[in-house]
Amino acid sequence: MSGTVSAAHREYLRRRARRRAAVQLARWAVLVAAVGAWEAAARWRLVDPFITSQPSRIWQSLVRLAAGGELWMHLGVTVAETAAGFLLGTLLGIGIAVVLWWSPFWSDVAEPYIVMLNSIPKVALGPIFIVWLGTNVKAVLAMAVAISVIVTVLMMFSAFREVDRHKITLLKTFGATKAQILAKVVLPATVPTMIASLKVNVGLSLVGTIVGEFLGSKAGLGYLIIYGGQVFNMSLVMAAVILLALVSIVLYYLVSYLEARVTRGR
Amino acid sequence: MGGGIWHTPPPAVGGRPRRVPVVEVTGVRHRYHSPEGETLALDGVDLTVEEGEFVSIVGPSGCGKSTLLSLIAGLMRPAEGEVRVRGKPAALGSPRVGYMLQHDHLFEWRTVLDNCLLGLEVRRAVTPAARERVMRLLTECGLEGFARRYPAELSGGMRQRAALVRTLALDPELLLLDEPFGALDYQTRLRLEDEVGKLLKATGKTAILVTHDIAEAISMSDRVVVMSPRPGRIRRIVPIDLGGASDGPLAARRSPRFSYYFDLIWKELGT
Repeated sequence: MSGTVSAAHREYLRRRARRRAAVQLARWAVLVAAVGAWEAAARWRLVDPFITSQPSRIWQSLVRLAAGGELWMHLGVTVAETAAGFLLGTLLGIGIAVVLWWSPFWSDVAEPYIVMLNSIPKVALGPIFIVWLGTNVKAVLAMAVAISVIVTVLMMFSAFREVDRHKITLLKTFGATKAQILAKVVLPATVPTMIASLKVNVGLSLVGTIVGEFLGSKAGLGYLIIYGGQVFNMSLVMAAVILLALVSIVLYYLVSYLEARVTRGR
Repeated sequence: MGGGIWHTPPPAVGGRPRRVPVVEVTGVRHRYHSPEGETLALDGVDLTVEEGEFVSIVGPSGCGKSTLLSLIAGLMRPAEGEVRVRGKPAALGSPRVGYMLQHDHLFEWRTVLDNCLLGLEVRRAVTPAARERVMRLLTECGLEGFARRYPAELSGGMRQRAALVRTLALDPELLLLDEPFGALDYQTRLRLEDEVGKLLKATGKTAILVTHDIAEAISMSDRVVVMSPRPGRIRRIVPIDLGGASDGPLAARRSPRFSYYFDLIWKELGT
Protein backbone atom coordinates (compact mmCIF):
# COMPACT_ATOMS: atom_id res chain seq x y z
CA MET A 1 0.00 0.00 0.00
CA SER A 2 1.38 3.41 -0.90
CA GLY A 3 1.12 6.44 1.33
CA THR A 4 -1.02 8.44 -1.03
CA VAL A 5 -4.62 7.36 -1.22
CA SER A 6 -7.17 8.55 -3.73
CA ALA A 7 -10.09 10.66 -2.59
CA ALA A 8 -12.47 7.92 -3.66
CA HIS A 9 -10.67 5.43 -1.42
CA ARG A 10 -10.78 7.84 1.53
CA GLU A 11 -14.48 8.23 0.93
CA TYR A 12 -14.90 4.45 0.82
CA LEU A 13 -13.05 4.04 4.13
CA ARG A 14 -15.08 6.80 5.73
CA ARG A 15 -18.36 5.25 4.62
CA ARG A 16 -17.24 1.89 5.97
CA ALA A 17 -16.36 3.33 9.37
CA ARG A 18 -19.62 5.27 9.49
CA ARG A 19 -21.64 2.15 8.76
CA ARG A 20 -19.87 0.20 11.46
CA ALA A 21 -20.51 2.93 14.00
CA ALA A 22 -24.18 3.01 13.00
CA VAL A 23 -24.53 -0.74 13.55
CA GLN A 24 -22.94 -0.46 17.01
CA LEU A 25 -25.19 2.43 17.93
CA ALA A 26 -28.31 0.62 16.73
CA ARG A 27 -27.38 -2.46 18.76
CA TRP A 28 -27.18 -0.47 21.98
CA ALA A 29 -30.32 1.48 21.09
CA VAL A 30 -32.30 -1.75 20.66
CA LEU A 31 -31.15 -2.97 24.07
CA VAL A 32 -31.90 0.31 25.82
CA ALA A 33 -35.30 0.58 24.13
CA ALA A 34 -36.29 -2.97 25.05
CA VAL A 35 -35.18 -2.64 28.67
CA GLY A 36 -36.77 0.84 28.90
CA ALA A 37 -40.08 -0.36 27.46
CA TRP A 38 -40.12 -3.30 29.86
CA GLU A 39 -39.42 -1.04 32.86
CA ALA A 40 -42.02 1.52 31.77
CA ALA A 41 -44.69 -1.10 31.11
CA ALA A 42 -44.15 -2.57 34.57
CA ARG A 43 -44.14 0.85 36.30
CA TRP A 44 -47.37 1.98 34.65
CA ARG A 45 -48.95 -1.42 35.32
CA LEU A 46 -49.45 -2.24 31.65
CA VAL A 47 -48.09 -5.63 32.66
CA ASP A 48 -48.04 -7.30 36.05
CA PRO A 49 -44.46 -7.13 37.40
CA PHE A 50 -45.22 -10.09 39.65
CA ILE A 51 -45.47 -12.19 36.46
CA THR A 52 -43.05 -10.39 34.13
CA SER A 53 -40.68 -8.92 36.71
CA GLN A 54 -38.97 -5.69 35.69
CA PRO A 55 -35.41 -4.54 35.01
CA SER A 56 -35.01 -2.54 38.20
CA ARG A 57 -36.15 -5.46 40.35
CA ILE A 58 -33.86 -7.84 38.46
CA TRP A 59 -31.00 -5.46 39.14
CA GLN A 60 -31.90 -5.38 42.86
CA SER A 61 -31.97 -9.18 42.89
CA LEU A 62 -28.55 -9.30 41.32
CA VAL A 63 -27.17 -6.79 43.80
CA ARG A 64 -28.64 -8.73 46.72
CA LEU A 65 -27.23 -11.99 45.42
CA ALA A 66 -23.82 -10.44 44.88
CA ALA A 67 -23.77 -8.84 48.30
CA GLY A 68 -24.66 -12.12 50.01
CA GLY A 69 -21.91 -13.90 48.06
CA GLU A 70 -24.44 -16.39 46.66
CA LEU A 71 -24.07 -15.00 43.16
CA TRP A 72 -20.45 -16.06 42.89
CA MET A 73 -21.10 -19.43 44.47
CA HIS A 74 -23.91 -20.33 42.03
CA LEU A 75 -22.03 -18.89 39.10
CA GLY A 76 -18.87 -20.77 40.08
CA VAL A 77 -20.70 -24.08 40.48
CA THR A 78 -22.33 -23.81 37.06
CA VAL A 79 -19.13 -22.73 35.31
CA ALA A 80 -17.10 -25.48 37.00
CA GLU A 81 -19.68 -28.15 36.17
CA THR A 82 -19.92 -26.96 32.57
CA ALA A 83 -16.15 -26.86 32.15
CA ALA A 84 -15.71 -30.31 33.66
CA GLY A 85 -18.57 -31.80 31.63
CA PHE A 86 -17.27 -30.13 28.50
CA LEU A 87 -13.70 -31.42 28.93
CA LEU A 88 -14.83 -34.91 29.93
CA GLY A 89 -17.34 -35.10 27.08
CA THR A 90 -14.86 -33.90 24.49
CA LEU A 91 -11.99 -36.12 25.65
CA LEU A 92 -14.22 -39.16 26.03
CA GLY A 93 -15.75 -38.48 22.60
CA ILE A 94 -12.35 -38.20 20.93
CA GLY A 95 -11.21 -41.34 22.76
CA ILE A 96 -14.20 -43.35 21.56
CA ALA A 97 -13.74 -42.00 18.01
CA VAL A 98 -10.10 -43.18 18.09
CA VAL A 99 -11.20 -46.66 19.16
CA LEU A 100 -13.74 -46.77 16.33
CA TRP A 101 -11.15 -45.55 13.82
CA TRP A 102 -8.74 -48.20 15.03
CA SER A 103 -11.13 -51.05 14.35
CA PRO A 104 -13.23 -50.75 11.18
CA PHE A 105 -15.00 -53.97 12.12
CA TRP A 106 -16.16 -52.70 15.48
CA SER A 107 -17.05 -49.29 14.12
CA ASP A 108 -19.38 -51.01 11.63
CA VAL A 109 -20.82 -53.04 14.50
CA ALA A 110 -21.29 -49.94 16.65
CA GLU A 111 -22.80 -47.71 13.95
CA PRO A 112 -26.54 -48.34 14.49
CA TYR A 113 -26.13 -48.03 18.25
CA ILE A 114 -24.36 -44.71 17.94
CA VAL A 115 -27.00 -43.39 15.56
CA MET A 116 -29.67 -44.48 18.05
CA LEU A 117 -27.91 -42.94 21.03
CA ASN A 118 -27.46 -39.73 19.06
CA SER A 119 -31.16 -39.43 18.32
CA ILE A 120 -32.30 -39.99 21.91
CA PRO A 121 -33.00 -36.65 23.60
CA LYS A 122 -30.33 -36.88 26.31
CA VAL A 123 -32.55 -34.95 28.72
CA ALA A 124 -34.73 -38.07 28.91
CA LEU A 125 -31.84 -39.87 30.58
CA GLY A 126 -31.88 -37.43 33.52
CA PRO A 127 -33.98 -39.55 35.90
CA ILE A 128 -31.74 -42.54 35.20
CA PHE A 129 -28.65 -40.57 36.23
CA ILE A 130 -30.42 -39.30 39.36
CA VAL A 131 -31.35 -42.85 40.40
CA TRP A 132 -27.92 -44.23 39.62
CA LEU A 133 -25.76 -41.40 40.88
CA GLY A 134 -27.95 -39.49 43.34
CA THR A 135 -29.02 -35.85 43.39
CA ASN A 136 -25.54 -34.39 43.34
CA VAL A 137 -22.74 -33.07 41.20
CA LYS A 138 -22.13 -36.52 39.69
CA ALA A 139 -25.59 -36.59 38.11
CA VAL A 140 -25.13 -33.05 36.75
CA LEU A 141 -21.78 -34.02 35.23
CA ALA A 142 -23.25 -37.19 33.75
CA MET A 143 -25.92 -35.07 32.08
CA ALA A 144 -23.37 -32.59 30.73
CA VAL A 145 -21.19 -35.42 29.39
CA ALA A 146 -24.11 -37.40 27.95
CA ILE A 147 -25.32 -34.45 25.94
CA SER A 148 -21.95 -33.71 24.32
CA VAL A 149 -20.19 -37.04 23.99
CA ILE A 150 -22.10 -38.71 21.15
CA VAL A 151 -21.98 -35.63 18.92
CA THR A 152 -18.24 -35.48 19.51
CA VAL A 153 -17.85 -39.15 18.60
CA LEU A 154 -19.77 -38.66 15.35
CA MET A 155 -17.95 -35.47 14.39
CA MET A 156 -14.48 -36.80 15.17
CA PHE A 157 -15.01 -40.24 13.67
CA SER A 158 -16.18 -38.84 10.36
CA ALA A 159 -13.26 -36.39 10.38
CA PHE A 160 -10.83 -39.26 11.04
CA ARG A 161 -12.26 -41.17 8.10
CA GLU A 162 -11.97 -38.20 5.79
CA VAL A 163 -8.24 -37.75 6.41
CA ASP A 164 -6.54 -37.82 3.01
CA ARG A 165 -5.74 -41.48 2.37
CA HIS A 166 -2.69 -40.50 0.32
CA LYS A 167 -1.15 -38.97 3.43
CA ILE A 168 -1.74 -42.28 5.18
CA THR A 169 -0.29 -44.20 2.22
CA LEU A 170 2.76 -41.96 2.36
CA LEU A 171 3.32 -42.81 6.03
CA LYS A 172 2.80 -46.50 5.30
CA THR A 173 5.57 -46.40 2.70
CA PHE A 174 7.82 -45.10 5.46
CA GLY A 175 6.83 -48.21 7.43
CA ALA A 176 4.64 -46.40 9.97
CA THR A 177 2.68 -48.39 12.55
CA LYS A 178 -1.01 -47.74 13.13
CA ALA A 179 -0.19 -45.77 16.27
CA GLN A 180 2.23 -43.61 14.29
CA ILE A 181 -0.38 -43.01 11.59
CA LEU A 182 -2.76 -41.89 14.34
CA ALA A 183 -0.24 -39.62 16.03
CA LYS A 184 1.41 -38.12 12.95
CA VAL A 185 -1.48 -37.73 10.49
CA VAL A 186 -4.94 -38.52 11.79
CA LEU A 187 -4.89 -36.47 15.00
CA PRO A 188 -2.98 -33.41 13.69
CA ALA A 189 -5.06 -33.32 10.50
CA THR A 190 -8.29 -33.22 12.50
CA VAL A 191 -7.36 -30.45 14.94
CA PRO A 192 -9.77 -28.02 13.18
CA THR A 193 -12.61 -30.49 13.71
CA MET A 194 -11.61 -30.87 17.35
CA ILE A 195 -11.87 -27.12 17.77
CA ALA A 196 -15.23 -27.10 16.00
CA SER A 197 -16.48 -29.81 18.34
CA LEU A 198 -15.22 -27.80 21.32
CA LYS A 199 -17.35 -24.90 20.11
CA VAL A 200 -20.41 -27.09 19.80
CA ASN A 201 -19.74 -28.79 23.11
CA VAL A 202 -19.45 -25.59 25.15
CA GLY A 203 -23.07 -24.83 24.37
CA LEU A 204 -24.23 -28.43 24.77
CA SER A 205 -22.46 -28.91 28.11
CA LEU A 206 -24.07 -25.76 29.44
CA VAL A 207 -27.48 -27.15 28.44
CA GLY A 208 -26.62 -30.46 30.09
CA THR A 209 -25.43 -28.76 33.25
CA ILE A 210 -28.54 -26.62 33.58
CA VAL A 211 -30.84 -29.58 32.95
CA GLY A 212 -28.86 -31.57 35.51
CA GLU A 213 -29.22 -28.74 38.01
CA PHE A 214 -32.95 -28.55 37.31
CA LEU A 215 -33.39 -32.23 38.07
CA GLY A 216 -31.52 -32.38 41.31
CA SER A 217 -28.93 -30.09 42.82
CA LYS A 218 -28.41 -27.67 45.65
CA ALA A 219 -26.41 -25.02 43.81
CA GLY A 220 -25.83 -23.49 40.40
CA LEU A 221 -27.76 -21.20 38.09
CA GLY A 222 -30.12 -24.05 37.11
CA TYR A 223 -30.94 -24.55 40.78
CA LEU A 224 -31.50 -20.80 41.18
CA ILE A 225 -33.92 -20.74 38.23
CA ILE A 226 -35.95 -23.72 39.49
CA TYR A 227 -35.96 -22.35 43.05
CA GLY A 228 -37.04 -18.87 41.87
CA GLY A 229 -39.85 -20.43 39.84
CA GLN A 230 -41.08 -22.50 42.78
CA VAL A 231 -41.27 -19.51 45.15
CA PHE A 232 -42.66 -17.31 42.34
CA ASN A 233 -39.74 -14.91 42.50
CA MET A 234 -39.57 -13.96 38.83
CA SER A 235 -36.84 -11.39 39.40
CA LEU A 236 -34.58 -14.15 40.69
CA VAL A 237 -35.40 -16.34 37.70
CA MET A 238 -34.70 -13.51 35.24
CA ALA A 239 -31.47 -12.57 37.03
CA ALA A 240 -30.26 -16.16 36.81
CA VAL A 241 -31.19 -16.37 33.11
CA ILE A 242 -29.24 -13.18 32.38
CA LEU A 243 -26.22 -14.58 34.22
CA LEU A 244 -26.56 -17.75 32.19
CA ALA A 245 -26.50 -15.77 28.95
CA LEU A 246 -23.34 -13.99 30.11
CA VAL A 247 -21.68 -17.29 31.06
CA SER A 248 -22.43 -18.81 27.67
CA ILE A 249 -21.05 -15.79 25.83
CA VAL A 250 -17.85 -15.78 27.88
CA LEU A 251 -17.32 -19.52 27.36
CA TYR A 252 -17.95 -19.22 23.63
CA TYR A 253 -15.41 -16.43 23.28
CA LEU A 254 -12.85 -18.38 25.30
CA VAL A 255 -13.12 -21.25 22.83
CA SER A 256 -13.00 -18.86 19.86
CA TYR A 257 -9.82 -17.38 21.29
CA LEU A 258 -8.37 -20.86 21.61
CA GLU A 259 -9.36 -21.59 18.00
CA ALA A 260 -7.67 -18.44 16.75
CA ARG A 261 -4.48 -19.36 18.60
CA VAL A 262 -4.37 -22.99 17.46
CA THR A 263 -5.23 -22.37 13.80
CA ARG A 264 -2.95 -19.37 13.39
CA GLY A 265 -0.12 -21.37 11.82
CA ARG A 266 -2.34 -23.06 9.23
CA MET B 1 27.83 -41.24 7.63
CA GLY B 2 30.95 -39.85 6.02
CA GLY B 3 31.32 -39.24 2.35
CA GLY B 4 28.90 -36.41 1.82
CA ILE B 5 25.18 -36.37 1.37
CA TRP B 6 24.82 -39.42 -0.76
CA HIS B 7 25.46 -42.80 0.77
CA THR B 8 25.15 -44.76 -2.43
CA PRO B 9 28.24 -44.28 -4.55
CA PRO B 10 27.65 -43.56 -8.22
CA PRO B 11 28.00 -46.66 -10.34
CA ALA B 12 31.25 -47.07 -12.18
CA VAL B 13 30.83 -46.12 -15.79
CA GLY B 14 31.48 -48.97 -18.18
CA GLY B 15 32.78 -52.43 -17.48
CA ARG B 16 30.74 -53.11 -14.35
CA PRO B 17 31.57 -56.50 -12.92
CA ARG B 18 27.99 -57.73 -12.53
CA ARG B 19 24.68 -55.94 -12.39
CA VAL B 20 22.41 -56.92 -9.53
CA PRO B 21 18.74 -56.50 -10.35
CA VAL B 22 17.10 -54.03 -7.96
CA VAL B 23 13.58 -55.00 -8.97
CA GLU B 24 12.37 -58.31 -10.32
CA VAL B 25 8.74 -58.65 -11.32
CA THR B 26 7.84 -62.14 -12.54
CA GLY B 27 4.50 -63.39 -13.85
CA VAL B 28 2.47 -60.84 -11.94
CA ARG B 29 -1.29 -60.81 -12.23
CA HIS B 30 -3.38 -58.57 -10.05
CA ARG B 31 -7.12 -58.24 -9.54
CA TYR B 32 -9.18 -55.66 -7.71
CA HIS B 33 -12.29 -56.89 -5.96
CA SER B 34 -15.43 -54.88 -5.30
CA PRO B 35 -19.06 -55.85 -4.68
CA GLU B 36 -19.76 -55.12 -8.36
CA GLY B 37 -17.20 -57.68 -9.49
CA GLU B 38 -13.53 -58.09 -10.09
CA THR B 39 -11.19 -56.22 -12.37
CA LEU B 40 -8.07 -57.71 -13.84
CA ALA B 41 -5.60 -54.85 -13.55
CA LEU B 42 -2.38 -56.61 -14.49
CA ASP B 43 -2.19 -59.73 -16.61
CA GLY B 44 1.22 -61.37 -16.66
CA VAL B 45 3.85 -58.71 -16.19
CA ASP B 46 7.58 -59.44 -16.19
CA LEU B 47 10.09 -56.68 -15.62
CA THR B 48 13.63 -56.45 -14.31
CA VAL B 49 15.23 -53.16 -13.33
CA GLU B 50 18.99 -53.00 -12.89
CA GLU B 51 20.96 -50.90 -10.47
CA GLY B 52 21.30 -47.27 -11.49
CA GLU B 53 18.73 -47.59 -14.23
CA PHE B 54 15.96 -45.11 -14.90
CA VAL B 55 12.89 -46.89 -16.24
CA SER B 56 9.64 -45.20 -17.23
CA ILE B 57 6.28 -46.87 -17.57
CA VAL B 58 3.81 -45.31 -19.99
CA GLY B 59 0.35 -46.46 -20.92
CA PRO B 60 -3.26 -45.35 -21.19
CA SER B 61 -5.25 -44.50 -18.06
CA GLY B 62 -6.27 -47.57 -16.14
CA CYS B 63 -3.58 -49.80 -17.66
CA GLY B 64 -2.34 -50.75 -14.21
CA LYS B 65 0.90 -48.78 -14.20
CA SER B 66 0.21 -47.28 -10.79
CA THR B 67 -0.84 -50.72 -9.57
CA LEU B 68 2.53 -52.05 -10.66
CA LEU B 69 4.26 -49.30 -8.72
CA SER B 70 2.16 -49.98 -5.61
CA LEU B 71 3.12 -53.65 -5.82
CA ILE B 72 6.81 -52.77 -6.00
CA ALA B 73 6.36 -50.40 -3.05
CA GLY B 74 4.80 -53.27 -1.10
CA LEU B 75 1.51 -51.45 -0.59
CA MET B 76 -0.26 -54.54 -1.97
CA ARG B 77 0.64 -58.13 -2.64
CA PRO B 78 0.20 -59.52 -6.14
CA ALA B 79 -2.59 -62.05 -6.53
CA GLU B 80 -0.22 -64.17 -8.60
CA GLY B 81 3.47 -63.99 -9.36
CA GLU B 82 6.33 -62.42 -7.50
CA VAL B 83 7.71 -58.95 -6.87
CA ARG B 84 11.18 -58.83 -5.42
CA VAL B 85 13.30 -55.87 -4.38
CA ARG B 86 16.96 -56.79 -4.02
CA GLY B 87 15.97 -60.44 -3.92
CA LYS B 88 13.42 -60.06 -1.10
CA PRO B 89 9.64 -59.97 -1.51
CA ALA B 90 8.49 -56.34 -1.72
CA ALA B 91 7.35 -55.13 1.70
CA LEU B 92 6.25 -51.85 3.21
CA GLY B 93 8.72 -49.75 5.08
CA SER B 94 11.77 -51.03 3.29
CA PRO B 95 14.51 -48.46 3.81
CA ARG B 96 15.65 -49.19 0.27
CA VAL B 97 12.53 -47.82 -1.36
CA GLY B 98 11.27 -44.23 -1.62
CA TYR B 99 7.83 -43.50 -3.01
CA MET B 100 6.77 -40.20 -4.50
CA LEU B 101 3.22 -39.35 -5.50
CA GLN B 102 1.63 -36.99 -7.99
CA HIS B 103 0.68 -34.50 -5.30
CA ASP B 104 3.21 -33.49 -2.73
CA HIS B 105 0.96 -34.39 0.23
CA LEU B 106 3.02 -32.16 2.47
CA PHE B 107 1.46 -31.85 5.91
CA GLU B 108 0.26 -28.29 6.14
CA TRP B 109 0.70 -28.19 9.93
CA ARG B 110 4.41 -28.99 9.70
CA THR B 111 7.21 -26.76 8.50
CA VAL B 112 9.07 -27.77 5.35
CA LEU B 113 11.93 -29.15 7.47
CA ASP B 114 9.59 -31.14 9.71
CA ASN B 115 7.86 -32.51 6.62
CA CYS B 116 11.20 -33.67 5.26
CA LEU B 117 12.03 -35.33 8.58
CA LEU B 118 8.78 -37.31 8.56
CA GLY B 119 10.25 -40.57 7.26
CA LEU B 120 13.17 -40.36 9.65
CA GLU B 121 10.74 -39.69 12.52
CA VAL B 122 8.71 -42.76 11.64
CA ARG B 123 11.92 -44.81 11.65
CA ARG B 124 12.99 -43.08 14.88
CA ALA B 125 16.18 -42.02 13.13
CA VAL B 126 16.18 -38.26 13.64
CA THR B 127 19.75 -37.59 14.71
CA PRO B 128 21.64 -34.30 14.49
CA ALA B 129 23.60 -35.78 11.59
CA ALA B 130 20.41 -36.81 9.76
CA ARG B 131 18.97 -33.35 10.35
CA GLU B 132 22.13 -31.82 8.94
CA ARG B 133 21.87 -34.06 5.90
CA VAL B 134 18.26 -33.03 5.27
CA MET B 135 19.26 -29.38 5.54
CA ARG B 136 21.94 -29.96 2.91
CA LEU B 137 19.41 -31.71 0.67
CA LEU B 138 17.09 -28.71 1.03
CA THR B 139 19.91 -26.41 0.03
CA GLU B 140 20.72 -28.60 -2.93
CA CYS B 141 17.11 -28.40 -4.07
CA GLY B 142 17.01 -24.63 -3.76
CA LEU B 143 14.94 -24.55 -0.57
CA GLU B 144 17.59 -23.32 1.88
CA GLY B 145 15.59 -20.26 2.96
CA PHE B 146 12.36 -22.17 3.37
CA ALA B 147 13.12 -24.83 5.99
CA ARG B 148 11.08 -23.03 8.66
CA ARG B 149 8.25 -22.01 6.34
CA TYR B 150 4.92 -23.78 6.01
CA PRO B 151 3.94 -25.57 2.77
CA ALA B 152 1.14 -23.05 2.13
CA GLU B 153 3.83 -20.39 1.59
CA LEU B 154 5.53 -22.37 -1.21
CA SER B 155 4.82 -22.54 -4.95
CA GLY B 156 3.82 -25.82 -6.58
CA GLY B 157 7.32 -26.50 -7.87
CA MET B 158 8.90 -25.77 -4.49
CA ARG B 159 6.39 -28.00 -2.76
CA GLN B 160 7.24 -30.87 -5.08
CA ARG B 161 10.94 -30.24 -4.42
CA ALA B 162 10.24 -30.46 -0.69
CA ALA B 163 8.42 -33.74 -1.33
CA LEU B 164 11.50 -34.97 -3.19
CA VAL B 165 13.72 -34.06 -0.24
CA ARG B 166 11.30 -35.89 2.07
CA THR B 167 11.71 -38.99 -0.12
CA LEU B 168 15.49 -38.66 -0.39
CA ALA B 169 15.91 -38.03 3.34
CA LEU B 170 15.86 -41.77 3.96
CA ASP B 171 18.49 -42.29 1.28
CA PRO B 172 16.58 -44.94 -0.66
CA GLU B 173 18.38 -46.76 -3.43
CA LEU B 174 15.17 -47.22 -5.41
CA LEU B 175 12.78 -44.36 -6.16
CA LEU B 176 9.23 -45.02 -7.25
CA LEU B 177 7.82 -41.93 -8.92
CA ASP B 178 4.08 -41.92 -9.60
CA GLU B 179 3.58 -38.97 -11.96
CA PRO B 180 5.47 -36.65 -9.63
CA PHE B 181 5.45 -33.80 -12.16
CA GLY B 182 1.86 -34.30 -13.30
CA ALA B 183 0.36 -31.47 -11.26
CA LEU B 184 2.91 -28.81 -12.21
CA ASP B 185 2.77 -26.14 -14.88
CA TYR B 186 4.76 -26.88 -18.03
CA GLN B 187 7.84 -24.72 -17.37
CA THR B 188 8.20 -25.84 -13.77
CA ARG B 189 7.71 -29.36 -14.95
CA LEU B 190 10.55 -29.20 -17.51
CA ARG B 191 12.91 -27.59 -15.04
CA LEU B 192 12.13 -30.07 -12.29
CA GLU B 193 12.44 -33.05 -14.63
CA ASP B 194 15.88 -31.80 -15.57
CA GLU B 195 17.00 -31.26 -11.98
CA VAL B 196 15.64 -34.55 -10.70
CA GLY B 197 16.99 -36.49 -13.67
CA LYS B 198 20.49 -35.10 -13.19
CA LEU B 199 20.35 -35.55 -9.42
CA LEU B 200 19.34 -39.19 -9.66
CA LYS B 201 21.91 -39.96 -12.35
CA ALA B 202 24.67 -38.23 -10.40
CA THR B 203 23.89 -40.24 -7.30
CA GLY B 204 23.36 -43.54 -9.04
CA LYS B 205 19.83 -44.08 -7.75
CA THR B 206 17.58 -46.55 -9.46
CA ALA B 207 14.22 -45.08 -10.43
CA ILE B 208 10.91 -46.19 -11.87
CA LEU B 209 8.71 -43.40 -13.21
CA VAL B 210 5.05 -43.78 -14.06
CA THR B 211 3.84 -41.08 -16.45
CA HIS B 212 1.34 -40.16 -19.14
CA ASP B 213 3.87 -37.94 -20.82
CA ILE B 214 5.80 -39.70 -23.59
CA ALA B 215 8.34 -36.87 -23.93
CA GLU B 216 9.03 -36.92 -20.21
CA ALA B 217 9.54 -40.67 -20.33
CA ILE B 218 11.97 -40.51 -23.28
CA SER B 219 13.96 -37.59 -21.95
CA MET B 220 14.51 -39.06 -18.50
CA SER B 221 14.84 -42.78 -19.08
CA ASP B 222 17.23 -45.51 -20.03
CA ARG B 223 14.27 -47.68 -20.97
CA VAL B 224 10.59 -46.99 -21.57
CA VAL B 225 8.05 -49.70 -20.80
CA VAL B 226 4.90 -49.38 -22.93
CA MET B 227 1.80 -50.97 -21.44
CA SER B 228 -1.42 -52.04 -23.11
CA PRO B 229 -4.91 -50.96 -21.98
CA ARG B 230 -6.52 -52.97 -19.20
CA PRO B 231 -5.80 -55.70 -18.41
CA GLY B 232 -2.27 -54.33 -18.29
CA ARG B 233 0.44 -56.20 -20.12
CA ILE B 234 3.83 -55.04 -21.22
CA ARG B 235 3.52 -54.37 -24.92
CA ARG B 236 7.07 -53.37 -25.59
CA ILE B 237 10.20 -52.23 -23.80
CA VAL B 238 12.07 -49.51 -25.68
CA PRO B 239 15.73 -48.90 -24.76
CA ILE B 240 16.50 -45.23 -25.18
CA ASP B 241 19.80 -44.17 -26.67
CA LEU B 242 19.91 -40.52 -27.53
CA GLY B 243 23.56 -40.71 -28.50
CA GLY B 244 26.53 -40.18 -26.23
CA ALA B 245 26.53 -39.07 -22.62
CA SER B 246 23.30 -37.22 -22.03
CA ASP B 247 23.40 -33.74 -20.56
CA GLY B 248 20.17 -34.27 -18.73
CA PRO B 249 16.52 -34.53 -19.71
CA LEU B 250 16.24 -31.01 -21.07
CA ALA B 251 19.18 -31.48 -23.44
CA ALA B 252 17.88 -34.91 -24.34
CA ARG B 253 14.78 -33.34 -25.84
CA ARG B 254 16.98 -31.66 -28.44
CA SER B 255 18.54 -34.92 -29.61
CA PRO B 256 17.83 -35.73 -33.27
CA ARG B 257 16.64 -39.19 -32.26
CA PHE B 258 14.11 -37.86 -29.79
CA SER B 259 11.28 -37.68 -32.32
CA TYR B 260 12.09 -41.16 -33.60
CA TYR B 261 11.46 -42.56 -30.13
CA PHE B 262 8.43 -40.38 -29.71
CA ASP B 263 6.84 -41.75 -32.89
CA LEU B 264 7.78 -45.30 -31.96
CA ILE B 265 6.17 -45.12 -28.53
CA TRP B 266 3.21 -43.13 -29.83
CA LYS B 267 2.47 -45.90 -32.36
CA GLU B 268 2.85 -48.59 -29.72
CA LEU B 269 0.35 -46.79 -27.51
CA GLY B 270 -2.06 -46.08 -30.34
CA THR B 271 -2.76 -49.58 -31.53
